[in-house]
Amino acid sequence: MKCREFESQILDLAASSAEPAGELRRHLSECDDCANRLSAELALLAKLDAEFSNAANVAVPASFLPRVRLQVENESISPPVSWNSWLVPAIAFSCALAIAVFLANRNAPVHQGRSAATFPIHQEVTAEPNLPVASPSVIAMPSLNAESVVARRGPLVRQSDSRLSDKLPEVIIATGQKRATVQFIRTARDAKWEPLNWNLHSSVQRLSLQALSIEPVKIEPLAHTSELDSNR
Amino acid sequence: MQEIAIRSLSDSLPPMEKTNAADSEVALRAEFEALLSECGPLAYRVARSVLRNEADAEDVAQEALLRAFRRFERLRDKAKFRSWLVRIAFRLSLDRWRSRKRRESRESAWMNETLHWHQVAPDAEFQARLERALSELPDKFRLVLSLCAMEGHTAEEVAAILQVPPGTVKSRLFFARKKLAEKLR
Repeated sequence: MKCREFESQILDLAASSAEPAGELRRHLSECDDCANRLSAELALLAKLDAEFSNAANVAVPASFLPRVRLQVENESISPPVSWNSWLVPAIAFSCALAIAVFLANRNAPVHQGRSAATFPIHQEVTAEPNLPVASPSVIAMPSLNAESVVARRGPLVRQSDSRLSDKLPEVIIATGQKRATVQFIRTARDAKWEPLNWNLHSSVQRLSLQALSIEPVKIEPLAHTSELDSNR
Repeated sequence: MQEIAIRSLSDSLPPMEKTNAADSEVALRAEFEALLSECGPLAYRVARSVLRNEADAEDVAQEALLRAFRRFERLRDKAKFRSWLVRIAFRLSLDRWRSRKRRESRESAWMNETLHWHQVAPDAEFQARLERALSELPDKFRLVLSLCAMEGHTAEEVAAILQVPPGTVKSRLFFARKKLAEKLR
């Protein structure tokens, strides 16, 4: 048990080439096993030292320095590095990086004050047959199939910066459902209906007019819907 | 007064500049020559202690000295030349040693098919184990082992070469010896 306590001390003692002291010294004088262990360690380290000494303390060949001198005479000294050799490329790289960051930021969408989730890029409107447009608070899309109305934004359009949005959001309508959509838009505009919440689980979807930015959309179909007006 | 001004202007003319540059190169070469005589053998010994092969050590030490000469003008503190050269020589030696090891391991792959382990001489086996143990040792410990093994190098002198405190040299030496003994036991 006591030998195990001294084991690491014996290894440290051998590696440090110091003299044993205190309790370790007393133990080594009493315990032959530990004394033998220390001797074996010291012998191993002596062998190692001899290896290193043999490798490091060799005579330098007589031809070595003259040969190096000859080569040095034929060598030219490279000029010291001037400040502009690294500063110019560094400035050029920084400028290129700044331009790249600027361009990347310009194309990224910015949502000021609203989360992106409020503005779904693609939303399907499900069918809800012929609900009467009685109240401005409830507006339904009559007779529309799924995928017939798609609100879409171009990838470069900024949501809240009208100055920069050169591409208005658009509403794509299936040709056969123009009338219903026009009626829907007209009712929504008259009611100034601006619900902002999307309930994806409901069969009747409330469109966020603000999100779709329907106001700036030129409602061209109105000009071609004389049949709609005549029907009314 | 005017004459003096004119003369001082003519001093800075291009031919004079060329002479000054040539003079400075001559001075630089003379300075390097003095350091070469002093530190050249040290570079060789560092390479020899790592590579354990005379021809390789000569090659590497020569390359280290030539590299040092090419960049000598950039070395601001010439008092650090010895430390700088030792590092260059050690780094180049390690590179050469590692590439040699890779080559040898490829060659030994087919040698092992015909040579059994018990046929290898005990000394060669110890050498192989030592090489393996050394390869696992961190470079900074290995360099201290090599420098301390050189005759006449005390811990203080090695510390001066490596630009570290003497206590650091002693602790690195202790750690290196202990690690090697553990692996070779």
